[in-house]
Amino acid sequence: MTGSAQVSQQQREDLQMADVQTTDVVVRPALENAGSSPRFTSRIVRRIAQAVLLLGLVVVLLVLVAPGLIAHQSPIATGDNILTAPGHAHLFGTDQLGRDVFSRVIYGSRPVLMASLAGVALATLAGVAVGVLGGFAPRMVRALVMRVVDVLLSLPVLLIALILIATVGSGLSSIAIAVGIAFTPGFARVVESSVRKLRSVEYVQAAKVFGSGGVRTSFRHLLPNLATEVVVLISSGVGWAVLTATTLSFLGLGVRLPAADWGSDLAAGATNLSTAWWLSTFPGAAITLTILLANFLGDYVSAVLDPRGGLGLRRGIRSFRTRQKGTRA
Amino acid sequence: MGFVLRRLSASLPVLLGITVVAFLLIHLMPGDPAKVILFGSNAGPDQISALRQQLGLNEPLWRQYFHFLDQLAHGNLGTSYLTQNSVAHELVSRTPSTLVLTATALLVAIVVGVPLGLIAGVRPNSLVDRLARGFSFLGVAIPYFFLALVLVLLFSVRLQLLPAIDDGTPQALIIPAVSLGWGYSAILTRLIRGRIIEEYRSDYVRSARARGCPEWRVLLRHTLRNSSIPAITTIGLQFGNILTGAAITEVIFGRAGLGSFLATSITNKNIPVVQGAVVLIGIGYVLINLVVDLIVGAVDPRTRLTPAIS
Amino acid sequence: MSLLEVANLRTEIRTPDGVVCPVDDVSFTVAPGETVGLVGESGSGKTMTGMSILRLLPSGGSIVGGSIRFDGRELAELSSTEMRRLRGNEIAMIFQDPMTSLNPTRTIGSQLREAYRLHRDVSRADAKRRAEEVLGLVGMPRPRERLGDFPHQLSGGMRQRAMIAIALICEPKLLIADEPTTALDVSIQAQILELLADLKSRLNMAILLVTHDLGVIAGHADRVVVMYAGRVAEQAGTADLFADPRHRYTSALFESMPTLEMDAGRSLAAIPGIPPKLTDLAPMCRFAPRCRFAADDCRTQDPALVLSPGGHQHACLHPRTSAGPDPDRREVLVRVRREASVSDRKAPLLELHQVHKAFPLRADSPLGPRRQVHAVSGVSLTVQSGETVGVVGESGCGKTTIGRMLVGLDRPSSGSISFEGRDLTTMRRGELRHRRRNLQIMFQDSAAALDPRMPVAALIQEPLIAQRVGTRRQRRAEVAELLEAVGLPSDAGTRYAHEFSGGQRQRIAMARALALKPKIIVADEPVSALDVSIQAQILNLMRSLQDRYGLTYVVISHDLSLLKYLADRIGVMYLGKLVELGTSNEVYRAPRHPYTAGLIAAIPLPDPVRERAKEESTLGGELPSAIDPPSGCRFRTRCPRATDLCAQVEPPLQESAGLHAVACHYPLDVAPVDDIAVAV
Repeated sequence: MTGSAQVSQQQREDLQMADVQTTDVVVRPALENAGSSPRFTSRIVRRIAQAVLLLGLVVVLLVLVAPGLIAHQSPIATGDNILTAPGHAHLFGTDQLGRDVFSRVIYGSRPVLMASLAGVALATLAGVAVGVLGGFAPRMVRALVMRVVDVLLSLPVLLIALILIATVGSGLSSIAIAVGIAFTPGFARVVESSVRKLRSVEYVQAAKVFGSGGVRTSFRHLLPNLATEVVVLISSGVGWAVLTATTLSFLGLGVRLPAADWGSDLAAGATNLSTAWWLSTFPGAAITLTILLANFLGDYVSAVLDPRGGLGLRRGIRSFRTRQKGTRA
Repeated sequence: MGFVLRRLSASLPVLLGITVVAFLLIHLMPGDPAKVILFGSNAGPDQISALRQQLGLNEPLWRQYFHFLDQLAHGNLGTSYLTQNSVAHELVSRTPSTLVLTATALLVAIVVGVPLGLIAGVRPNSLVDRLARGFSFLGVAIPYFFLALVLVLLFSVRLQLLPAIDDGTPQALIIPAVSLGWGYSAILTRLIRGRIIEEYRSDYVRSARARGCPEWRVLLRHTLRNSSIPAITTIGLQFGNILTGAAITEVIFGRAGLGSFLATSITNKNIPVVQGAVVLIGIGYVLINLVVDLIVGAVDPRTRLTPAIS
Repeated sequence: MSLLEVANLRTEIRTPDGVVCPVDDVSFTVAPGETVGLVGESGSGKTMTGMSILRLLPSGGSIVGGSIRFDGRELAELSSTEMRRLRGNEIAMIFQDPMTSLNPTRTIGSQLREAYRLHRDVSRADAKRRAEEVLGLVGMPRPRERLGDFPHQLSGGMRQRAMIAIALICEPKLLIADEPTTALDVSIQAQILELLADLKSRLNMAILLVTHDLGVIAGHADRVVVMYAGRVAEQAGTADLFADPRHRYTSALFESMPTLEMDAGRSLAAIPGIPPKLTDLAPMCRFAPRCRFAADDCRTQDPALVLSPGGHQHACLHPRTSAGPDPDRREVLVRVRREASVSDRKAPLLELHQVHKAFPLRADSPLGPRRQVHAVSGVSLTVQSGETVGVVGESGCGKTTIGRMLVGLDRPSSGSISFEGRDLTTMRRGELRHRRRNLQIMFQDSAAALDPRMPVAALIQEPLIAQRVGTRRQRRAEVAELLEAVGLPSDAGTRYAHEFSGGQRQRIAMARALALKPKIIVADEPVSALDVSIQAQILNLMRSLQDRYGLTYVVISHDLSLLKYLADRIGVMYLGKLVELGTSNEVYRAPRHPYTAGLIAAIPLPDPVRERAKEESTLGGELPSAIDPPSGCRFRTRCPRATDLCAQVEPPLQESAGLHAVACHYPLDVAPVDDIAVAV
């Protein structure tokens, strides 16, 4: 049964993934290099990658939990030294009101990260719910649900977010909700097609043959395999969410001034672009680094979770377990 | 021909759904439309309820929807609350400039992304490939509004080569288009690179070589065509995002177009304009993807076939 | 003067796991107009040898030693441009899977023209004319119209014809055919092999026939090169090799093949173990670990090729000495055939009654008529307890759907399937689930049928958990017993399915199917993805388990010789219908349906004398569409005996006068079975 529209539908579904993740095709660095580069290089690269990732995550965590540890000045305290260039006293310089740009960049990460993480969490919950419904429901229900998803997919993410913000008003939580809802259709699409694919996989059919009930099969075979796809989806969605959230705050729909926020600081600095380049550049660079880190994490996670081979995490854990058993016995 | 019909009939429900969404906006957005229209005119409750009557807001929802559809079918998107001009007219007059920016950005994305992905894919792990991978990794990470500022800083402020804001010249298009297209070129690079590597591993490439096909021919006649299919589909799916990106870029560079119009309309709760824009963008998306499917159908005959069994 | 002379060829491929040496010190020659068979199992290096000749190795691969002389030129030394001019022009190649080997987005005509114009300076119109001519040459009907077709619009056999046409368009001196018929059905395989033989003599070209199938070699090669683990094991004229194999690997390979005439009561002489990995091998006979004749010297030195009279070469330190029965051969009569027990009519264990299955198809246009694929159209079949029933047919005949319906994966559109007298199709869900423990299935691709995220022990005890059988401790003991029963090491339970080889994975699938102690196991192409030597292991295992657990098998396969060996009764399917049903001896020795007869004739026999004495295959044409099957007898479109009656009246499946059942208006005359048996 290869209907023509079905073929394109399939391609479409595969690519819908690209729609959600700007990182489009799920590239698996470890596997991709397997053909041509000798093993030792990839091992070194892997170590470096792991170190960078770990460092990045520690920094992100630190910034979220205790920004005061990194930035010693208040992000909102005004000072007399306005528009001073980056230097010893102010690592990233000061802004029009004499506030320390470094502190603002550190503190400004919190609204962005919180809004996008909350948004992705919301989108994941809603997307998985709708997608699983679409994947399991009888044909008519599925058709209806997925048509609605199709309609929402035809509207750009940002347009949906903007309309929602116009509805509920601006602010940090609005951004989180807007990102969440705007991402839901894309997530739902990916989850639905994974569920459908997984349901026809031979090992799920085999489970049916030996009498595994629908619920049991779902928990033993579908969900674990779906979970990895969802984790990949989440990790690659974060970068895109950061971009969307900062775009919205760039448009002035985020935090209330004078609180620090990358998007609004970037926009505010734009007016002094010719005289004080540091005002926009540092928040911008911070956004870029965050998205880089998120995408990097996404690729890494999808490589690790590949059940056949992957980065060998599974094998490592198992050999550890058997070793423990050995010592116990 | 049957293919086109089938595709069209498949997109009808989506088009209808878009009109439903647009219609529901009136009731979703806060604020009574009548009050918004009469804002600042010190109108009394009587006037407001009269206007509500006139706008048909007291009728049952389904009748309002059919009225909305009927108007839509006649190309009537209502009148702007603020200017009392025809929304259709206002939108259509602003569309070309946004489309020009979108198209130019797309052009940048294709001109940069496709060759880069190609070279990288042909020689995986070469220097060019490493650079291309770095570029695409960075490319998707830099937000276009930040890139726009950086480019302005470099080329307008420091080097004074290009205008920073729109002065009507074609040069003024360069920075917005490049900053918007950059991210998508990174996406295309990554996509095409992956596809080319995949295609090169396939059997038909091996058999093309076995019949003595030179490498350039293998690339241009065989792999390139087949790897372009997902790239074309991606462009279709990303169209809406590029369009909204263009709208925001317009706001940054002070360009007249849909973007700034839509932005002010959303903040002013000028609902007919937002409705019109949703319908316009939705139809645009459906049309673009119809065209994309036709192109893919022309490039890849397998999607065209009426199936036997497999 | 030979056309191709490969001497001491050595090829290496760099991979993340180290340097693999798939071709190690390989020498052979091909004379003009000669067909040389290069035979070996997967991983033997036969394909890489072919690719080395064309210098088309995968990335990381390179020729590191030896020489390849073609027509007086050293190929290893040619520049890449010169090499390119040679490819497709003087040496052409065809591949296993014609679907993936043709560019899906270009027409057949465009790919043919390209192949011609790359090497001949001709106009587009001339190239087109030539393309049409060559398509006609390879037996493509209406070649002019086919030029505008895309590969997916052709059937498998026609695609392979198009591939051959592309290869032959420049009239090469040597054609390398890499498993040219492996992806095709038997009847189409016979057509393609005949075509190749015919073209070879017409164009006076040499063929290097790379294959795993000894039957294909027997019928079509003049000389044979047997490869094992990157080395040449044996080299001889075809008749010589089949009559008197010297290398222990070659003779073991012959013994492990189920053939149509072998005594089904005997177990196959399986080769234990699996081929070695081709990395960092110490000097030794590479077959030694699996060879029951291996002595100490086999494990310490590389055996050299020994030339004996008649050009027969072998690299074995303890070769098989003479023709005739091997004294050491373990001829064990494992079992008595059950044909007697089938005849006494007790209540069948499983009964299919007029089962139909149709799958809906997407309509052509939104308002167009709904269409259906009739996968199974009215099949009735009974299975007695303890017997093995084989269902044979070519792809698209509906045999897999039958298997899926038996275990409840698909529901019949109409008809009934009863197990122990109770209709499964009307059973309530809870009861069906419970009944299911008696009906288990083994899939063809065990890699896909085993959840990659579960260790083997969890996979095997899953059915027990699902049916709530036993305590934790009992289940663990059960898993240990099952692992032992299917011949897997006891520590296999902690590993994951993807860490095992194909044969071992099939054992895991078998263990899981056995876990619930079912009465019936449906095996869908249980060994078709495996190499011959591994196949024998699995077939023997299936038989020993049948005896041990008293199993009933329904084996679904495209391979009649396999079923002849394994099954007590065979049902032959064609386009959703059962056309013949009888004991395997009856069906094979005295087929009554023209289709069955054609199918048997199409199977390549691993015996050069008889294979060559065979008449041309009688199965012309291709399988019609299952959407609009032919009226009356579905086989009539390909049947030499068809008359108007066949188009109007559908023949029922019926027995007559002591003969087995057939669905044909004009069944073949049957000579008494004994006479034929003597002739064979």
